[in-house]
Amino acid sequence: MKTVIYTIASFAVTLALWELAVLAGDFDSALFPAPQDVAKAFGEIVANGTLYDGIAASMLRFVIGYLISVVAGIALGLLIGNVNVLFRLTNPVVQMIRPIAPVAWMPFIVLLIGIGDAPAIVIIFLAGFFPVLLTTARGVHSVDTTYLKVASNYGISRLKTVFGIILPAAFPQIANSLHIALGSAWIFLVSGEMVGTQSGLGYMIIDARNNLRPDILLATMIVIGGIGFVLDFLIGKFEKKVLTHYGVY
Amino acid sequence: MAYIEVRNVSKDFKRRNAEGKDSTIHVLDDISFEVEKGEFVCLLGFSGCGKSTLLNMLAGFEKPTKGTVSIDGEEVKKPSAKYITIFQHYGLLPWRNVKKNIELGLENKNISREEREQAAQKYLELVGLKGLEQQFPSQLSGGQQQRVAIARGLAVNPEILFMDEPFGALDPITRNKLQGDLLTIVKEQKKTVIFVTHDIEEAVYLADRVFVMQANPGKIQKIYEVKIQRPRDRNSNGFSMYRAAVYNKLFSIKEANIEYMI
Ligand SMILES: Nc1ncnc2c1ncn2[C@@H]1O[C@H](COP(=O)(O)OP(=O)(O)OP(=O)(O)O)[C@@H](O)[C@H]1O
Ligand SMILES: [Mg+2]
Repeated sequence: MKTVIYTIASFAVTLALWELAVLAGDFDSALFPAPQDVAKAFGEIVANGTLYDGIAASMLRFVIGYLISVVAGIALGLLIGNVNVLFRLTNPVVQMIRPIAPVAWMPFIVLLIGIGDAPAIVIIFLAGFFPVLLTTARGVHSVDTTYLKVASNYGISRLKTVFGIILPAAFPQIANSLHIALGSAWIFLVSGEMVGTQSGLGYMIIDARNNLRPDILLATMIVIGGIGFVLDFLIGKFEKKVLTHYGVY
Repeated sequence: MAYIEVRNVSKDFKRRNAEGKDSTIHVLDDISFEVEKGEFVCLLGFSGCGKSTLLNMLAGFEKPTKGTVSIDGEEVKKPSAKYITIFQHYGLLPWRNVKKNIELGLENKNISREEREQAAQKYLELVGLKGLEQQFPSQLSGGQQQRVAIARGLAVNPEILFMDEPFGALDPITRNKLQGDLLTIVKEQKKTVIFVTHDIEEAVYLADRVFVMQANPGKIQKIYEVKIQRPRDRNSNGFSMYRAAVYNKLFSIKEANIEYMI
Protein backbone atom coordinates (compact mmCIF):
# COMPACT_ATOMS: atom_id res chain seq x y z
CA MET A 1 0.00 0.00 0.00
CA LYS A 2 2.81 2.37 0.97
CA THR A 3 4.48 1.53 -2.34
CA VAL A 4 1.43 2.73 -4.24
CA ILE A 5 1.43 6.06 -2.39
CA TYR A 6 5.14 6.56 -3.02
CA THR A 7 4.70 5.69 -6.68
CA ILE A 8 1.93 8.25 -7.11
CA ALA A 9 3.95 10.85 -5.21
CA SER A 10 7.01 10.12 -7.32
CA PHE A 11 5.15 10.82 -10.55
CA ALA A 12 3.34 13.85 -9.10
CA VAL A 13 6.60 15.49 -8.01
CA THR A 14 8.20 14.81 -11.38
CA LEU A 15 5.23 16.32 -13.24
CA ALA A 16 5.27 19.38 -10.95
CA LEU A 17 9.00 19.92 -11.53
CA TRP A 18 8.51 19.54 -15.25
CA GLU A 19 5.65 22.03 -15.27
CA LEU A 20 7.78 24.38 -13.18
CA ALA A 21 10.71 24.10 -15.56
CA VAL A 22 8.44 24.93 -18.50
CA LEU A 23 6.99 27.98 -16.68
CA ALA A 24 10.24 29.25 -15.22
CA GLY A 25 12.51 28.39 -18.12
CA ASP A 26 12.62 30.65 -21.12
CA PHE A 27 12.22 27.95 -23.73
CA ASP A 28 10.23 28.06 -26.93
CA SER A 29 6.99 26.29 -25.97
CA ALA A 30 7.07 24.41 -29.27
CA LEU A 31 10.46 22.93 -28.33
CA PHE A 32 9.84 22.22 -24.63
CA PRO A 33 6.21 21.15 -24.31
CA ALA A 34 4.41 21.13 -20.99
CA PRO A 35 2.90 17.90 -19.59
CA GLN A 36 -0.57 18.78 -20.85
CA ASP A 37 0.80 19.32 -24.39
CA VAL A 38 2.42 15.93 -24.27
CA ALA A 39 -0.84 14.43 -23.02
CA LYS A 40 -2.57 16.01 -25.98
CA ALA A 41 0.06 14.64 -28.38
CA PHE A 42 -0.40 11.25 -26.78
CA GLY A 43 -4.12 11.50 -27.52
CA GLU A 44 -3.27 12.39 -31.09
CA ILE A 45 -0.99 9.42 -31.77
CA VAL A 46 -3.46 7.08 -30.10
CA ALA A 47 -6.32 8.44 -32.18
CA ASN A 48 -4.55 8.31 -35.54
CA GLY A 49 -3.20 4.85 -34.90
CA THR A 50 0.50 5.62 -35.23
CA LEU A 51 1.19 4.64 -31.63
CA TYR A 52 -0.56 1.32 -32.04
CA ASP A 53 1.33 0.58 -35.25
CA GLY A 54 4.61 1.60 -33.65
CA ILE A 55 4.09 -0.57 -30.59
CA ALA A 56 3.00 -3.51 -32.72
CA ALA A 57 6.06 -3.24 -34.96
CA SER A 58 8.41 -2.86 -32.00
CA MET A 59 6.88 -5.67 -29.98
CA LEU A 60 7.08 -8.08 -32.88
CA ARG A 61 10.81 -7.40 -33.35
CA PHE A 62 11.33 -7.47 -29.63
CA VAL A 63 9.62 -10.82 -29.10
CA ILE A 64 11.47 -12.42 -32.01
CA GLY A 65 14.89 -11.03 -31.06
CA TYR A 66 14.50 -11.72 -27.37
CA LEU A 67 13.22 -15.26 -27.85
CA ILE A 68 16.05 -16.12 -30.22
CA SER A 69 18.60 -14.71 -27.78
CA VAL A 70 17.08 -16.64 -24.88
CA VAL A 71 16.83 -19.95 -26.71
CA ALA A 72 20.29 -19.63 -28.28
CA GLY A 73 21.84 -18.31 -25.07
CA ILE A 74 20.48 -21.13 -22.93
CA ALA A 75 21.20 -23.85 -25.50
CA LEU A 76 24.77 -22.75 -26.23
CA GLY A 77 25.32 -21.90 -22.55
CA LEU A 78 24.37 -25.47 -21.63
CA LEU A 79 26.69 -26.76 -24.32
CA ILE A 80 29.79 -24.75 -23.42
CA GLY A 81 29.01 -25.11 -19.71
CA ASN A 82 29.05 -28.88 -19.99
CA VAL A 83 31.87 -29.33 -22.47
CA ASN A 84 34.90 -27.74 -20.91
CA VAL A 85 36.96 -27.74 -24.12
CA LEU A 86 34.29 -25.70 -25.87
CA PHE A 87 34.07 -23.28 -22.98
CA ARG A 88 37.79 -22.62 -22.95
CA LEU A 89 37.84 -22.36 -26.71
CA THR A 90 35.00 -19.84 -26.99
CA ASN A 91 35.36 -17.83 -23.80
CA PRO A 92 38.21 -15.52 -24.89
CA VAL A 93 36.43 -14.46 -28.06
CA VAL A 94 33.10 -14.09 -26.28
CA GLN A 95 34.72 -11.90 -23.66
CA MET A 96 36.12 -9.70 -26.41
CA ILE A 97 32.89 -9.40 -28.38
CA ARG A 98 30.68 -8.86 -25.37
CA PRO A 99 31.80 -5.32 -24.47
CA ILE A 100 31.06 -4.07 -27.99
CA ALA A 101 27.81 -2.10 -27.66
CA PRO A 102 25.12 -3.74 -29.79
CA VAL A 103 24.50 -0.41 -31.60
CA ALA A 104 28.10 -0.46 -32.78
CA TRP A 105 27.17 -3.48 -34.89
CA MET A 106 24.44 -1.48 -36.57
CA PRO A 107 26.29 0.09 -39.52
CA PHE A 108 27.95 -3.21 -40.26
CA ILE A 109 24.65 -5.08 -40.18
CA VAL A 110 22.84 -2.46 -42.27
CA LEU A 111 25.58 -2.61 -44.89
CA LEU A 112 25.43 -6.37 -44.82
CA ILE A 113 21.67 -7.03 -44.89
CA GLY A 114 20.11 -3.62 -45.48
CA ILE A 115 17.48 -1.80 -43.43
CA GLY A 116 14.21 -3.33 -42.29
CA ASP A 117 13.23 -5.63 -39.45
CA ALA A 118 16.41 -7.68 -39.46
CA PRO A 119 18.94 -5.15 -38.09
CA ALA A 120 16.73 -4.26 -35.13
CA ILE A 121 16.16 -7.94 -34.38
CA VAL A 122 19.89 -8.62 -34.61
CA ILE A 123 20.58 -5.81 -32.12
CA ILE A 124 18.02 -7.13 -29.65
CA PHE A 125 19.50 -10.55 -30.08
CA LEU A 126 23.04 -9.27 -29.41
CA ALA A 127 21.86 -7.37 -26.34
CA GLY A 128 20.14 -10.41 -24.84
CA PHE A 129 22.36 -13.24 -26.02
CA PHE A 130 25.61 -12.64 -24.13
CA PRO A 131 24.21 -12.22 -20.63
CA VAL A 132 22.07 -15.34 -21.06
CA LEU A 133 24.93 -17.36 -22.61
CA LEU A 134 27.48 -16.50 -19.95
CA THR A 135 25.11 -16.80 -17.01
CA THR A 136 23.89 -20.17 -18.22
CA ALA A 137 27.46 -21.45 -18.62
CA ARG A 138 28.39 -20.10 -15.20
CA GLY A 139 25.20 -21.56 -13.73
CA VAL A 140 26.13 -24.98 -15.12
CA HIS A 141 29.58 -24.70 -13.55
CA SER A 142 28.19 -23.82 -10.16
CA VAL A 143 25.59 -26.58 -9.95
CA ASP A 144 25.83 -28.24 -6.55
CA THR A 145 27.99 -31.35 -6.99
CA THR A 146 25.54 -33.26 -4.81
CA TYR A 147 22.99 -33.09 -7.65
CA LEU A 148 25.54 -34.55 -10.05
CA LYS A 149 26.35 -37.31 -7.60
CA VAL A 150 22.65 -38.06 -7.23
CA ALA A 151 22.29 -38.21 -11.01
CA SER A 152 25.17 -40.64 -11.45
CA ASN A 153 24.11 -42.66 -8.42
CA TYR A 154 20.65 -43.29 -9.91
CA GLY A 155 22.13 -44.04 -13.32
CA ILE A 156 20.53 -41.06 -15.05
CA SER A 157 21.85 -40.63 -18.60
CA ARG A 158 24.08 -37.72 -19.57
CA LEU A 159 21.41 -36.09 -21.70
CA LYS A 160 18.73 -36.43 -19.04
CA THR A 161 21.15 -35.07 -16.48
CA VAL A 162 21.76 -31.96 -18.59
CA PHE A 163 18.08 -31.20 -19.17
CA GLY A 164 16.51 -32.77 -16.10
CA ILE A 165 19.04 -31.87 -13.41
CA ILE A 166 21.60 -29.28 -14.53
CA LEU A 167 19.23 -26.96 -16.39
CA PRO A 168 16.66 -26.76 -13.60
CA ALA A 169 19.39 -26.52 -10.97
CA ALA A 170 20.90 -23.54 -12.78
CA PHE A 171 17.53 -22.04 -13.57
CA PRO A 172 17.36 -19.45 -10.75
CA GLN A 173 20.55 -17.90 -12.12
CA ILE A 174 19.32 -18.21 -15.68
CA ALA A 175 16.04 -16.51 -14.70
CA ASN A 176 18.05 -13.61 -13.34
CA SER A 177 19.92 -13.31 -16.63
CA LEU A 178 16.60 -13.42 -18.51
CA HIS A 179 15.54 -10.46 -16.41
CA ILE A 180 18.72 -8.52 -17.16
CA ALA A 181 18.64 -9.48 -20.83
CA LEU A 182 15.05 -8.33 -21.17
CA GLY A 183 15.96 -4.88 -19.86
CA SER A 184 18.92 -4.38 -22.14
CA ALA A 185 17.11 -5.87 -25.13
CA TRP A 186 14.32 -3.32 -24.69
CA ILE A 187 16.81 -0.49 -24.37
CA PHE A 188 18.64 -1.50 -27.51
CA LEU A 189 15.46 -2.13 -29.46
CA VAL A 190 14.85 1.61 -29.54
CA SER A 191 18.38 2.44 -30.65
CA GLY A 192 18.16 -0.23 -33.31
CA GLU A 193 14.92 1.20 -34.66
CA MET A 194 16.31 4.71 -34.69
CA VAL A 195 18.89 3.70 -37.25
CA GLY A 196 17.74 0.87 -39.38
CA THR A 197 13.95 0.87 -39.72
CA GLN A 198 10.93 2.79 -40.99
CA SER A 199 8.56 1.71 -38.20
CA GLY A 200 8.41 1.10 -34.50
CA LEU A 201 8.83 3.25 -31.41
CA GLY A 202 12.45 4.12 -32.15
CA TYR A 203 11.49 5.25 -35.63
CA MET A 204 8.64 7.34 -34.18
CA ILE A 205 11.21 9.28 -32.18
CA ILE A 206 13.30 10.04 -35.24
CA ASP A 207 10.16 10.88 -37.20
CA ALA A 208 8.96 13.28 -34.48
CA ARG A 209 12.32 15.01 -34.51
CA ASN A 210 12.24 15.38 -38.28
CA ASN A 211 8.74 16.89 -38.07
CA LEU A 212 9.74 19.18 -35.20
CA ARG A 213 7.15 17.61 -32.89
CA PRO A 214 8.84 17.39 -29.45
CA ASP A 215 5.41 16.79 -27.89
CA ILE A 216 5.03 13.53 -29.83
CA LEU A 217 8.68 12.77 -29.17
CA LEU A 218 8.21 13.02 -25.40
CA ALA A 219 4.94 11.09 -25.52
CA THR A 220 6.71 8.28 -27.36
CA MET A 221 9.57 8.32 -24.85
CA ILE A 222 7.09 7.97 -22.00
CA VAL A 223 5.43 5.04 -23.76
CA ILE A 224 8.84 3.36 -24.21
CA GLY A 225 9.59 3.83 -20.52
CA GLY A 226 6.14 2.59 -19.55
CA ILE A 227 6.39 -0.59 -21.62
CA GLY A 228 9.91 -1.24 -20.31
CA PHE A 229 8.61 -0.80 -16.80
CA VAL A 230 5.75 -3.25 -17.34
CA LEU A 231 8.04 -5.82 -19.00
CA ASP A 232 10.50 -5.56 -16.13
CA PHE A 233 7.69 -5.91 -13.61
CA LEU A 234 6.35 -9.04 -15.32
CA ILE A 235 9.68 -10.80 -15.62
CA GLY A 236 10.55 -9.74 -12.08
CA LYS A 237 7.41 -11.55 -10.93
CA PHE A 238 8.43 -14.59 -12.94
CA GLU A 239 11.91 -14.54 -11.43
CA LYS A 240 10.55 -14.24 -7.93
CA LYS A 241 8.18 -17.12 -8.57
CA VAL A 242 11.12 -19.27 -9.69
CA LEU A 243 13.13 -18.38 -6.62
CA THR A 244 10.21 -19.04 -4.28
CA HIS A 245 9.66 -22.37 -5.94
CA TYR A 246 13.31 -23.23 -5.34
CA GLY A 247 13.09 -22.17 -1.71
CA VAL A 248 15.48 -19.26 -2.10
CA TYR A 249 12.98 -16.97 -0.37
CA MET B 1 34.68 -63.75 0.29
CA ALA B 2 33.11 -60.93 2.26
CA TYR B 3 30.32 -58.81 0.82
CA ILE B 4 32.23 -55.53 0.92
CA GLU B 5 36.00 -55.85 0.73
CA VAL B 6 38.33 -52.92 1.14
CA ARG B 7 41.92 -53.94 0.37
CA ASN B 8 44.90 -51.69 1.17
CA VAL B 9 43.12 -48.53 0.10
CA SER B 10 45.05 -45.27 0.15
CA LYS B 11 43.93 -41.92 -1.13
CA ASP B 12 46.03 -38.90 -1.99
CA PHE B 13 44.72 -35.52 -3.03
CA LYS B 14 46.64 -32.88 -4.92
CA ARG B 15 46.31 -29.54 -3.30
CA ARG B 16 47.72 -26.11 -4.00
CA ASN B 17 49.44 -24.76 -0.92
CA ALA B 18 49.67 -21.11 0.16
CA GLU B 19 52.72 -20.47 -2.03
CA GLY B 20 50.84 -21.73 -5.08
CA LYS B 21 52.80 -24.97 -5.36
CA ASP B 22 51.03 -28.27 -5.83
CA SER B 23 51.49 -30.67 -2.99
CA THR B 24 50.08 -34.08 -2.28
CA ILE B 25 48.17 -34.84 0.87
CA HIS B 26 47.87 -38.36 2.07
CA VAL B 27 44.28 -38.54 3.29
CA LEU B 28 43.76 -42.26 3.77
CA ASP B 29 46.52 -44.72 4.51
CA ASP B 30 46.39 -48.41 3.70
CA ILE B 31 42.89 -49.17 4.90
CA SER B 32 41.54 -52.71 4.82
CA PHE B 33 38.32 -54.10 6.21
CA GLU B 34 35.40 -56.30 5.36
CA VAL B 35 31.68 -55.88 5.87
CA GLU B 36 29.12 -58.67 5.78
CA LYS B 37 25.78 -58.45 4.04
CA GLY B 38 23.12 -56.96 6.30
CA GLU B 39 25.62 -55.34 8.66
CA PHE B 40 25.26 -51.81 9.98
CA VAL B 41 28.68 -50.20 10.20
CA CYS B 42 29.41 -46.71 11.53
CA LEU B 43 32.52 -44.82 10.51
CA LEU B 44 33.31 -42.52 13.40
CA GLY B 45 36.03 -39.90 13.52
CA PHE B 46 36.86 -36.25 13.80
CA SER B 47 36.28 -33.79 11.03
CA GLY B 48 38.86 -34.15 8.30
CA CYS B 49 39.91 -37.72 9.08
CA GLY B 50 38.68 -38.89 5.69
CA LYS B 51 35.28 -40.44 6.44
CA SER B 52 33.57 -38.86 3.45
CA THR B 53 36.52 -39.67 1.22
CA LEU B 54 36.35 -43.33 2.23
CA LEU B 55 32.57 -43.41 1.72
CA ASN B 56 32.92 -41.74 -1.70
CA MET B 57 35.31 -44.49 -2.78
CA LEU B 58 32.99 -47.22 -1.53
CA ALA B 59 30.14 -45.60 -3.46
CA GLY B 60 32.23 -45.25 -6.64
CA PHE B 61 32.29 -41.44 -6.72
CA GLU B 62 36.08 -41.44 -6.31
CA LYS B 63 38.85 -43.89 -7.13
CA PRO B 64 41.40 -45.05 -4.59
CA THR B 65 44.97 -43.96 -5.30
CA LYS B 66 46.05 -47.43 -4.24
CA GLY B 67 44.17 -50.59 -3.38
CA THR B 68 40.73 -51.83 -4.33
CA VAL B 69 37.15 -51.73 -3.17
CA SER B 70 34.90 -54.56 -4.20
CA ILE B 71 31.28 -55.26 -3.49
CA ASP B 72 29.73 -58.66 -3.99
CA GLY B 73 32.88 -59.85 -5.72
CA GLU B 74 33.04 -57.03 -8.23
CA GLU B 75 35.46 -54.14 -8.14
CA VAL B 76 33.71 -50.78 -7.66
CA LYS B 77 34.58 -48.47 -10.54
CA LYS B 78 31.60 -46.17 -10.79
CA PRO B 79 28.40 -45.39 -8.92
CA SER B 80 25.51 -47.77 -9.24
CA ALA B 81 21.89 -47.71 -8.17
CA LYS B 82 22.61 -50.90 -6.21
CA TYR B 83 24.37 -48.72 -3.67
CA ILE B 84 22.59 -45.51 -2.83
CA THR B 85 24.24 -42.62 -1.02
CA ILE B 86 22.28 -40.42 1.36
CA PHE B 87 23.86 -37.00 1.84
CA GLN B 88 23.95 -34.71 4.85
CA HIS B 89 22.19 -31.96 2.91
CA TYR B 90 19.69 -34.42 1.43
CA GLY B 91 20.39 -33.72 -2.25
CA LEU B 92 16.70 -33.35 -3.02
CA LEU B 93 15.80 -31.58 -6.25
CA PRO B 94 14.06 -28.36 -5.16
CA TRP B 95 12.04 -28.06 -8.37
CA ARG B 96 10.37 -31.43 -7.85
CA ASN B 97 7.72 -32.14 -5.27
CA VAL B 98 8.13 -34.94 -2.75
CA LYS B 99 6.47 -37.55 -4.93
CA LYS B 100 8.53 -36.62 -7.98
CA ASN B 101 11.70 -36.63 -5.94
CA ILE B 102 11.01 -40.15 -4.75
CA GLU B 103 10.26 -41.23 -8.31
CA LEU B 104 13.59 -39.90 -9.61
CA GLY B 105 15.48 -43.17 -9.57
CA LEU B 106 12.52 -45.10 -10.99
CA GLU B 107 12.12 -42.98 -14.10
CA ASN B 108 14.81 -44.70 -16.13
CA LYS B 109 13.62 -48.15 -15.17
CA ASN B 110 11.39 -50.01 -17.52
CA ILE B 111 8.25 -49.79 -15.45
CA SER B 112 4.87 -48.27 -16.08
CA ARG B 113 3.88 -44.94 -14.63
CA GLU B 114 1.38 -46.66 -12.40
CA GLU B 115 3.96 -49.00 -10.90
CA ARG B 116 6.27 -46.06 -10.38
CA GLU B 117 3.65 -44.08 -8.54
CA GLN B 118 2.73 -47.08 -6.42
CA ALA B 119 6.35 -47.63 -5.47
CA ALA B 120 6.79 -43.96 -4.58
CA GLN B 121 3.66 -44.06 -2.45
CA LYS B 122 4.80 -47.19 -0.67
CA TYR B 123 8.15 -45.72 0.37
CA LEU B 124 6.61 -42.37 1.19
CA GLU B 125 4.38 -44.16 3.67
CA LEU B 126 7.24 -46.29 4.93
CA VAL B 127 9.20 -43.20 5.99
CA GLY B 128 6.07 -41.66 7.51
CA LEU B 129 5.40 -38.83 5.09
CA LYS B 130 1.93 -39.76 3.90
CA GLY B 131 0.01 -36.65 2.87
CA LEU B 132 3.09 -34.63 1.95
CA GLU B 133 3.46 -35.93 -1.61
CA GLN B 134 2.64 -32.59 -3.24
CA GLN B 135 4.96 -30.49 -1.04
CA PHE B 136 8.23 -29.08 -2.32
CA PRO B 137 11.48 -29.64 -0.40
CA SER B 138 11.60 -25.99 0.67
CA GLN B 139 8.29 -26.51 2.45
CA LEU B 140 9.61 -29.36 4.59
CA SER B 141 11.66 -29.49 7.78
CA GLY B 142 15.18 -30.89 7.63
CA GLY B 143 14.02 -34.16 9.16
CA GLN B 144 11.23 -34.52 6.63
CA GLN B 145 13.61 -33.74 3.79
CA GLN B 146 15.98 -36.46 4.92
CA ARG B 147 13.02 -38.87 5.11
CA VAL B 148 12.27 -38.03 1.48
CA ALA B 149 15.89 -38.69 0.54
CA ILE B 150 15.75 -42.04 2.32
CA ALA B 151 12.49 -42.95 0.59
CA ARG B 152 14.01 -41.97 -2.77
CA GLY B 153 16.95 -44.24 -2.05
CA LEU B 154 14.88 -47.19 -0.85
CA ALA B 155 12.55 -46.90 -3.84
CA VAL B 156 15.22 -48.25 -6.21
CA ASN B 157 15.65 -51.19 -3.88
CA PRO B 158 19.41 -50.88 -3.30
CA GLU B 159 21.45 -53.49 -1.47
CA ILE B 160 23.53 -50.94 0.39
CA LEU B 161 22.91 -47.51 1.84
CA PHE B 162 25.92 -45.25 2.18
CA MET B 163 25.01 -42.44 4.54
CA ASP B 164 27.23 -39.41 5.11
CA GLU B 165 26.26 -37.69 8.35
CA PRO B 166 22.62 -37.88 7.27
CA PHE B 167 21.28 -36.62 10.57
CA GLY B 168 24.09 -34.14 11.22
CA ALA B 169 21.96 -31.07 10.61
CA LEU B 170 18.99 -32.16 12.71
CA ASP B 171 18.00 -31.33 16.27
CA PRO B 172 18.52 -34.11 18.86
CA ILE B 173 14.88 -35.15 19.16
CA THR B 174 14.34 -35.40 15.41
CA ARG B 175 17.66 -37.18 15.10
CA ASN B 176 16.76 -39.82 17.70
CA LYS B 177 13.43 -40.44 16.02
CA LEU B 178 15.06 -40.82 12.61
CA GLN B 179 17.73 -43.14 13.99
CA GLY B 180 15.05 -45.43 15.38
CA ASP B 181 13.00 -45.37 12.19
CA LEU B 182 16.05 -45.96 10.01
CA LEU B 183 17.07 -49.00 12.05
CA THR B 184 13.61 -50.50 11.86
CA ILE B 185 13.50 -50.07 8.09
CA VAL B 186 16.99 -51.29 7.21
CA LYS B 187 16.86 -54.27 9.52
CA GLU B 188 13.48 -55.27 8.16
CA GLN B 189 14.61 -54.84 4.55
CA LYS B 190 17.98 -56.45 5.28
CA LYS B 191 20.00 -53.57 3.88
CA THR B 192 23.70 -53.21 4.46
CA VAL B 193 24.48 -49.74 5.80
CA ILE B 194 27.74 -47.81 6.02
CA PHE B 195 26.98 -44.75 8.09
CA VAL B 196 29.39 -41.85 8.63
CA THR B 197 29.03 -39.82 11.78
CA HIS B 198 31.04 -37.92 14.34
CA ASP B 199 28.45 -38.45 17.03
CA ILE B 200 29.56 -41.22 19.41
CA GLU B 201 26.09 -41.89 20.79
CA GLU B 202 24.65 -42.15 17.32
CA ALA B 203 27.32 -44.67 16.34
CA VAL B 204 26.82 -46.82 19.43
CA TYR B 205 23.05 -46.69 19.07
CA LEU B 206 22.97 -47.67 15.41
CA ALA B 207 25.94 -49.84 14.61
CA ASP B 208 26.64 -53.52 14.69
CA ARG B 209 30.25 -52.41 14.47
CA VAL B 210 31.82 -49.00 15.04
CA PHE B 211 35.01 -48.21 13.11
CA VAL B 212 36.89 -45.53 15.00
CA MET B 213 39.07 -43.56 12.62
CA GLN B 214 42.11 -41.44 13.27
CA ALA B 215 43.35 -38.55 11.17
CA ASN B 216 46.56 -37.52 9.40
CA PRO B 217 46.69 -39.90 7.73
CA GLY B 218 43.25 -41.46 8.00
CA LYS B 219 43.28 -44.99 9.34
CA ILE B 220 40.90 -47.27 11.14
CA GLN B 221 42.21 -47.21 14.65
CA LYS B 222 39.91 -49.71 16.25
CA ILE B 223 36.76 -51.66 15.53
CA TYR B 224 34.16 -52.09 18.25
CA GLU B 225 31.54 -54.74 17.93
CA VAL B 226 28.51 -53.40 19.77
CA LYS B 227 26.96 -56.41 21.44
CA ILE B 228 23.86 -54.76 22.84
CA GLN B 229 20.43 -56.11 21.99
CA ARG B 230 18.05 -53.94 20.04
CA PRO B 231 16.13 -51.82 20.66
CA ARG B 232 18.99 -50.24 22.54
CA ASP B 233 18.48 -48.13 25.61
CA ARG B 234 20.73 -45.11 25.54
CA ASN B 235 20.66 -44.94 29.32
CA SER B 236 21.63 -48.52 30.03
CA ASN B 237 24.94 -49.44 31.62
CA GLY B 238 26.11 -51.40 28.62
CA PHE B 239 25.41 -48.45 26.36
CA SER B 240 27.34 -46.08 28.64
CA MET B 241 30.26 -48.43 28.70
CA TYR B 242 30.51 -48.59 24.94
CA ARG B 243 30.09 -44.87 24.75
CA ALA B 244 32.89 -44.34 27.25
CA ALA B 245 35.19 -46.82 25.52
CA VAL B 246 34.68 -45.22 22.13
CA TYR B 247 35.05 -41.77 23.64
CA ASN B 248 38.32 -42.69 25.28
CA LYS B 249 39.62 -44.25 22.12
CA LEU B 250 38.62 -41.27 20.07
CA PHE B 251 40.36 -38.88 22.42
CA SER B 252 43.20 -41.37 22.89
CA ILE B 253 42.62 -41.65 26.61
CA LYS B 254 43.82 -44.82 28.33
CA GLU B 255 41.71 -47.56 26.92
CA ALA B 256 39.15 -49.23 29.12
CA ASN B 257 38.99 -52.95 28.72
CA ILE B 258 35.46 -53.22 27.58
CA GLU B 259 35.24 -56.98 27.27
CA TYR B 260 36.36 -57.26 30.85
CA MET B 261 33.89 -54.67 32.13
CA ILE B 262 30.77 -56.08 30.51
N1 LIG C 1 38.66 -33.14 -3.57
C1 LIG C 1 39.58 -32.89 -2.62
N2 LIG C 1 40.73 -32.26 -2.93
C2 LIG C 1 41.67 -32.01 -2.01
N3 LIG C 1 41.56 -32.37 -0.72
C3 LIG C 1 40.44 -33.00 -0.32
C4 LIG C 1 39.39 -33.29 -1.26
N4 LIG C 1 38.40 -33.93 -0.59
C5 LIG C 1 38.81 -34.02 0.70
N5 LIG C 1 40.03 -33.47 0.87
C6 LIG C 1 40.81 -33.42 2.11
O1 LIG C 1 40.81 -34.71 2.64
C7 LIG C 1 40.68 -34.69 4.04
C8 LIG C 1 39.53 -35.56 4.46
O2 LIG C 1 38.32 -35.00 3.98
P1 LIG C 1 36.91 -35.68 4.25
O3 LIG C 1 35.88 -34.81 3.64
O4 LIG C 1 36.96 -37.09 3.81
O5 LIG C 1 36.82 -35.62 5.82
P2 LIG C 1 35.63 -36.04 6.78
O6 LIG C 1 36.16 -37.02 7.74
O7 LIG C 1 34.44 -36.45 6.00
O8 LIG C 1 35.31 -34.68 7.54
P3 LIG C 1 33.90 -34.07 8.01
O9 LIG C 1 33.52 -34.78 9.25
O10 LIG C 1 34.23 -32.63 8.29
O11 LIG C 1 32.94 -34.23 6.90
C9 LIG C 1 40.53 -33.24 4.43
O12 LIG C 1 41.78 -32.76 4.87
C10 LIG C 1 40.15 -32.56 3.15
O13 LIG C 1 40.64 -31.25 3.12
MG1 LIG D 1 32.55 -35.59 5.62
